Amino acid sequence: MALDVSACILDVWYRLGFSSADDLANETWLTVAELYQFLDDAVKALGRSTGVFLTYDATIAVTPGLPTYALPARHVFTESAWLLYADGHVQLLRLTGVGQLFALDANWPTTLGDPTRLSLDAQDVETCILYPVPLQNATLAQVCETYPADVALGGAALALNPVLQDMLTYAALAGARSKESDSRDGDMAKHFAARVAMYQAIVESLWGSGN
Amino acid sequence: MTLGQMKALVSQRLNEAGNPVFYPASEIQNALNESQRLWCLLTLCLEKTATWNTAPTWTHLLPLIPDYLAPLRLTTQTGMKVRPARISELFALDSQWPASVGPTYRYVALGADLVGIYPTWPQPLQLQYAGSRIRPRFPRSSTNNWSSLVATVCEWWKEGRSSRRCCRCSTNSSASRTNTRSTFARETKANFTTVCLSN
Repeated sequence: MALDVSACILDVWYRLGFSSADDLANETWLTVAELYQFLDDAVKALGRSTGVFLTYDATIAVTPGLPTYALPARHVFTESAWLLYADGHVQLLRLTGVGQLFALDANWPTTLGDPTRLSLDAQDVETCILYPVPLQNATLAQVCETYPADVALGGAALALNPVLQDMLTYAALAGARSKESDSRDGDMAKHFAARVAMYQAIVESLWGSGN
Repeated sequence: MTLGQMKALVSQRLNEAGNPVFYPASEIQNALNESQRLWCLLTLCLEKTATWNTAPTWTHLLPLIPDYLAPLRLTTQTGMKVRPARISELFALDSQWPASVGPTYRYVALGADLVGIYPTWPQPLQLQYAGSRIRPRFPRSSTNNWSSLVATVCEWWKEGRSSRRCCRCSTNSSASRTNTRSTFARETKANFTTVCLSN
């Protein structure tokens, strides 16, 4: 993977006035773990507000008679979905709200047939439901937005171009400068947050907004 | 212009020519690297070409091409253009497209690095893409207006340094530099405009 999160920390300590990375590690008003927390917040915000972390998922096996399925881990929104049948046939699934399902078919929860629609709000969160209730085995394939695993001390890498390490660096600086302490600097915190917003705007124009 | 010359110019403008102390050379280089990364992201000017051996319909490109930013052109080995499309357009074109096999002539790019091709075909494609530099070095010689970039880095970097406060006593390390904050954004924008237009 591309972006090494630990590289952001190496760009942070001297901008906060520490004389070395060890100096930062021995500090009390700000810990390295907190910096990683600020990075984690920024990455999750990026995943929610922009269409960066898109992935293709075909791990959900559809079985006859079962309309409800758990969504992939860290799922945010489904961009497009379709069913892959064993014989090679493909069926596009139209994303449909529960209100539209009731308008379409008053008995939609029990209607049987080959699914043509997918609803994300008809059941619990983190689940999806197929309409009609499927009659045969298939694979639910989807292109979906996700958010990455937690960024924490010792964590590895993000599926992002390294050019965005500066955005995360500024997010850590904004978090550090806005933390209540003797070293708090509201003006600079706003300044760094504006830098993060600038990067988010570039990312959004380049890779799209979130859902 | 070499990296060393650029660092020397920055030090000179920071009134630390010869023996930089308050603004170490390593931090100047970090600022130059950051400015070039942002420049690549803003302008997509760093065009590169790679051969992509396609296999499945969907591929994440970053593990294959670590500096991939965005696709610019995709062609087959024979030079035929593979045209961009949206998923909805592919379904309108062919309702069975995810399972189609044959010579590729459409692709869809989504998110930071997800690319799908239609139809699927085990052939190498030529990918021209906008890239970035992970730890960049500047060209050894160039006719570009690098002095504007140096000026930008100076202002940018002075701004960052002006915020440096002693983490123990909370005093500004250089109060005289805080007046750069109000004009920083305007100057940075102007300088970047100059650089981008001159290239």
